[in-house]
Amino acid sequence: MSKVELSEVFGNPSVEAFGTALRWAVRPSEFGGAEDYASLVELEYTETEEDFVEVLKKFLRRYHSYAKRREKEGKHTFLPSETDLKNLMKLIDQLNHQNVNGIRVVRAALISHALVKASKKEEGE
Amino acid sequence: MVVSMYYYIQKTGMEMFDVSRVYGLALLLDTSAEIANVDERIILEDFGTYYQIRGPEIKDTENLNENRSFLGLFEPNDGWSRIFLTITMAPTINIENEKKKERVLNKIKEKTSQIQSLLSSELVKIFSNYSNIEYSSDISAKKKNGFDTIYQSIEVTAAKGFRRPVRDRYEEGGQVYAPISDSAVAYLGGAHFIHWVWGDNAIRILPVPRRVIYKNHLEIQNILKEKYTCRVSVSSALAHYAVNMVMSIREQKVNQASYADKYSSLIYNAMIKTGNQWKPTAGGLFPLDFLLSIVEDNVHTSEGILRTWDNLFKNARDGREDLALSLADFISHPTIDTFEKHLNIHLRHSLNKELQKRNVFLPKYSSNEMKEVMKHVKS
Repeated sequence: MSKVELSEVFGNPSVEAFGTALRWAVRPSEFGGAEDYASLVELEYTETEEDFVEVLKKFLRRYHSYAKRREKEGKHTFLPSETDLKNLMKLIDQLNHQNVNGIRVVRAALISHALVKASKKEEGE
Repeated sequence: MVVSMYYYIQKTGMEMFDVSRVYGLALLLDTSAEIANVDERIILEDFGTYYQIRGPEIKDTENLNENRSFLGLFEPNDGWSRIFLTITMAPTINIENEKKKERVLNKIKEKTSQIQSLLSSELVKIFSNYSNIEYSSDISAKKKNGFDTIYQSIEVTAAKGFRRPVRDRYEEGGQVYAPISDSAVAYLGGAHFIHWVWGDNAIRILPVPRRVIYKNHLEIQNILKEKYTCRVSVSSALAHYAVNMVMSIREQKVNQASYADKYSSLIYNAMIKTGNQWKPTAGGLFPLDFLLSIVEDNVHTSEGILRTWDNLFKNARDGREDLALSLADFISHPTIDTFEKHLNIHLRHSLNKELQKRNVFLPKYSSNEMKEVMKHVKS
């Protein structure tokens, strides 16, 4: 198994999917966001893989409600899938096998997406 | 025909004193070459146990005391006032009180006149000393004839000296002394090249050349003089200075196809004033590898990253000081732990609605910039 670097984790499609969703979820409502700070706080304090999965599932449930509201306003919103969640857990496992704290690395990659400027395509969604 | 020579500054273990001598000697060579109408590149290089300067051979130093360029090196200014801070007690010569200003200027002139006189009369001997690889500065714990105090402002470790046994236990030592000519070269280098940041501590910063062309360094120095440096803490001042310095290095790299200058780290010393005395508080080396590796890897993407960090340091006030502290921690130790900690603080402040109401928006990264930063984080 080849070594996975942090920058590769950042560019992983499932990390990008969740990261983009997190970016929109924490945005202020004036800028089209959901102001979901609770997910951010919960994500910060996860230690185990079980906690991590639970927090991400909770986040997805909150995000689905937000996405539905936007659909009613005629705005399409990108949604991460269950497959994306499974891929995240596989990635964590792969990192753990490299003697790296997989949760820490994936979590840092997700939060870093929240600090990335939204693309023009995203803003148009 | 211009003849190149090598000059050697053997390291004493007092890092700021040594690097101040490097810059001081380079400045003397550059000024002497200008006076003699000699055009020769001066290169500063670290060879582990000594620094080497490649520069012009200077044989004639007549009429230095009538030369404007040479005299200009000793004009009383903030640089000199700070070198003799423990005497002048004035971090700047811009003093409103005229009597105090006159007193400070007189104290500076007294010291700089001595240094000017020494350097003009002994310059050939100084160049000759340093052209001998076996020459090393004789550091002493006792004052001897021909020796001068190494002021705390040029080397913080000189204030505490060598530990010595006193009645069956070890105590901190007293003042440390160096040959007067070596001290003079160090004071000259310190006055012109040390960067001062005034916060709770008086912080001195000096870049360590690994292999640097002197003229390139002068250019960077002039740019950095005008730039604001964060004062939240010693580490944030160092990290912000490092970001600004590497931004200037990046620009030189973009503008010069053959640019190959390298710096290894920043030396820093810090002092704090207690009552009427200045006391040493900190000293060490701040690494530049992380920042330089980002520029080395991607000179174009690194511009946005460095500008973001510069912006974050500038915004680290009014309750956002942890931005500077966490970013400084990350820059000096780029691990996943420090990275995650800084990201959380950055994100928390960027979501602060109070800031947004005041039209304060913290910068964000592009996707490429974030990816580039992550390539250099140690997991």
